[in-house]
Amino acid sequence: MIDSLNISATGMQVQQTAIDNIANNLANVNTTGFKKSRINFEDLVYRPLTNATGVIGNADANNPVGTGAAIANIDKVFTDGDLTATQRSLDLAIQGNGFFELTLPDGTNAYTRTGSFDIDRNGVIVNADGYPLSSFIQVPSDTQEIVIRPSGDVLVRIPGENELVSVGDIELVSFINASGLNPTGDNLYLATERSGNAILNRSDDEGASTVSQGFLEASNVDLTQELTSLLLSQRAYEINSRILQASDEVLDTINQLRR
Amino acid sequence: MSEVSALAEIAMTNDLRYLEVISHNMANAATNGYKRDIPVMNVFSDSLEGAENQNSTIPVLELGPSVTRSIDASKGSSVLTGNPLDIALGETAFLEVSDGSNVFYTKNGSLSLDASGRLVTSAGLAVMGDSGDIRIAKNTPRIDKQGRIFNDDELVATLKVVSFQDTSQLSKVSGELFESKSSPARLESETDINIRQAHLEGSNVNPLTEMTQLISTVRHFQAAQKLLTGYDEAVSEAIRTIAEF
Repeated sequence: MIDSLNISATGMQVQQTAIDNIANNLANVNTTGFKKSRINFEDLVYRPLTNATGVIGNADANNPVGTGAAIANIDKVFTDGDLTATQRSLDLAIQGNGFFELTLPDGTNAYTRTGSFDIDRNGVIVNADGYPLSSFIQVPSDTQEIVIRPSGDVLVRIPGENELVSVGDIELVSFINASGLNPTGDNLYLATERSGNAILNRSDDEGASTVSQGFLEASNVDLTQELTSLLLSQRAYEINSRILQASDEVLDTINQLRR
Repeated sequence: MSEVSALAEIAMTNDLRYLEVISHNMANAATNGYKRDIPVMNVFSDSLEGAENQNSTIPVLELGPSVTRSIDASKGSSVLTGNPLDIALGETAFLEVSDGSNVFYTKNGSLSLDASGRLVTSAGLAVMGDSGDIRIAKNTPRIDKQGRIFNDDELVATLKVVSFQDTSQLSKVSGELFESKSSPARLESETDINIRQAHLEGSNVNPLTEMTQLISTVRHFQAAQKLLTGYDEAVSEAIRTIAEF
């Protein structure tokens, strides 16, 4: 039949996915440590435009026509979210491009920006889902106060000691291409071929990420930006549907050629 | 006798091509760095000439307009994204990218780093600098107006930004890439390169233009259909009257 039907359908499909993506970003506007996703579109194959008589070979062969749009990729955008003060000693926010490294029950590592930690019954520092940090840190049962330094040093105050006692070090990691991480839900990310392996963050490096105790990182979703994109996507969807209608009208005209 | 119906058929087929180009433009209304296609109806005499140049006999069916396509290289609106690896280029400027064997050009400045720290486009093609691939250790470099990339004030690489004297030499390939038959000129001046970091250039599709063209195309198609049915009536009338003799 006529190609413009399918071409405008690809336009509607990509806008549909764009709206799905906006919905996911907006649903997570209050999710601690959430990073928004961004969709990149691309244009599709160009095939030679034949002229009306089907003769290829004059200027038209160099003027191929495109066949619509597709999604090139969906990337996470790792800009910093705002820090919100919570006063809770195990709420940690990362400043810089680092990640916390967690150990999953199967022994593999997952990465997160969400620093809302707890202590489990064994005194181990775990995240909200109960996964321990990969630099397994255990605090004594009679701990009165936990102090975490920007470098990630975890110090505790225990009765009978005048000084703070160090119990471990929260190690941060970073990725050369963080947008290539695979988000698996629960605010966790897995390393992929695109992201590269985790690089240990040394606190004495210039520009190294630091930990802020008593703060949480809010999501980096920008409401104005999302709503603007929503408006644009909806209108783009609408105009592609108009073209679909017009193509349908043309088909109808063809059908009326013979009465 | 069949010439009128043949001409009407050509007109209608060309309208369908028009429709394809318009649909493609609208489908890419939100594709960053997309340059719209302009459908061009070549008039009667042009296609006749084209046919003459190609071979000596003039095929009768070439006596109709045909559709070609040119690229509207005008600038799309640019949007602030805040992402340090997004760049918007000046109006005539293109980035040179490579898939390892072929060189392409693009206006889509939505860049990222791959696992080895190489600067790539959203489709994964390597962005070319002065000396081939660009490797950046950090994903928050500073990129100045001339396309120089700095990591903490240390110059890492310079983007290879080019322009074309004649954009009609460009042809499009999937994934927002352009191919060129002529080699481009390297841009040097800051006002031409005019890179803005953390911005992206949107597509230059204007919905108003496309909608207007859509309306006129559909109406033209209907007019051609009327022409054909009118001719059909005339012929059938003729057959009937002649048969009365």
